[in-house]
Amino acid sequence: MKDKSLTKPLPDEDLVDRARAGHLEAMDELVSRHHGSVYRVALGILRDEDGAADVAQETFLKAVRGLKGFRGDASFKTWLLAIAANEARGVLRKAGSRKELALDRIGPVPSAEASVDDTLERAEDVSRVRALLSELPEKQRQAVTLRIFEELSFREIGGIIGSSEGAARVNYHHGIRRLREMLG
Amino acid sequence: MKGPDCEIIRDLLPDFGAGSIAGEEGGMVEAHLGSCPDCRRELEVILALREARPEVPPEVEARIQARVREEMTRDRTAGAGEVPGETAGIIPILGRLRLIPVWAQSAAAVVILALGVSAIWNARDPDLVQDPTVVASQELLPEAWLWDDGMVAGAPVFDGLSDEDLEALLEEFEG
Repeated sequence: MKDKSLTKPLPDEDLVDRARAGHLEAMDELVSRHHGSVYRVALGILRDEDGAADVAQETFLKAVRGLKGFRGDASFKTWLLAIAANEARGVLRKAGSRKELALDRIGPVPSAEASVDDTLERAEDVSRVRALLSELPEKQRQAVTLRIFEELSFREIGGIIGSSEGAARVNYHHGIRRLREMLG
Repeated sequence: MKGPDCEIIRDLLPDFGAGSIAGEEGGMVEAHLGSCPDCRRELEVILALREARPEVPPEVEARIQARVREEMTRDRTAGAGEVPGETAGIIPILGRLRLIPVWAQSAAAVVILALGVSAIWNARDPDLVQDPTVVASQELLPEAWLWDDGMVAGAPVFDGLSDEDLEALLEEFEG
């Protein structure tokens, strides 16, 4: 029988406790909440959609295997994203070089209500922004995407990209400044 | 009165753009944006970036959930009876014992019991636990005829004696 208490939005910590006890639905919910962030972190490093999906899956499998060792010093999301970033970097190291598919080649998802012109215009804007974003140095790009796409704090970003909180803030502001200059 | 400087506001702009700050802090950001074109421009860039956030292919979530469920179910089967949170000690071992057939568990219990009894028996005073049939085959010293409590050693000891030896022994008792 389905556990009705799961219909209420439980905090991640409670879901982690349940998942640790083998509760499949709790883990489903954690995947549902965080797979997008995990996928985007992997995509930002790999720049390959299939590779990002594989890394996202591997990230959750590693999380399940390591769940009993997760002590909650960082948030579950930050922990997951750090696993994803490490996993993606590992894939890159094995591949020896970056894949060809860049972020600017990933098509936008059109809104169901937008007109054709609006959709094309938005697609052009989105493509341009993604193209410029992909020109940033890696740490700046990661700091910008983690701050804006995932709404993480600089402290959390530092933990994921392997730098101090201050360095994460500096990377973010440098990245934004460059984007402002490039966007005109 | 001087308002908050641009550095503080720019740290908050991603949260403001996401609609996740409101109240006094949100009002402070709004007031600053009203008078600072530079920070307004930065907010525009942040909003353009938010628009460019890559979407996740719809099949990814279900694929991950299915694979994760498979992994968790396999773990649970392998660790049947495992108490959640226990990673070491005898509890996981007991859980795995349930996978062993009952006949094998029974056989193992008999062997363990036999070994245990043997170990306890051998741990006693070796002079008292020697097999009487072995004692009888050895050269008997006078003090070996009596146990510490004064009782004569058991029948197997006498079984090994010749008639002459037995008579000599009886004479010794009677004498």
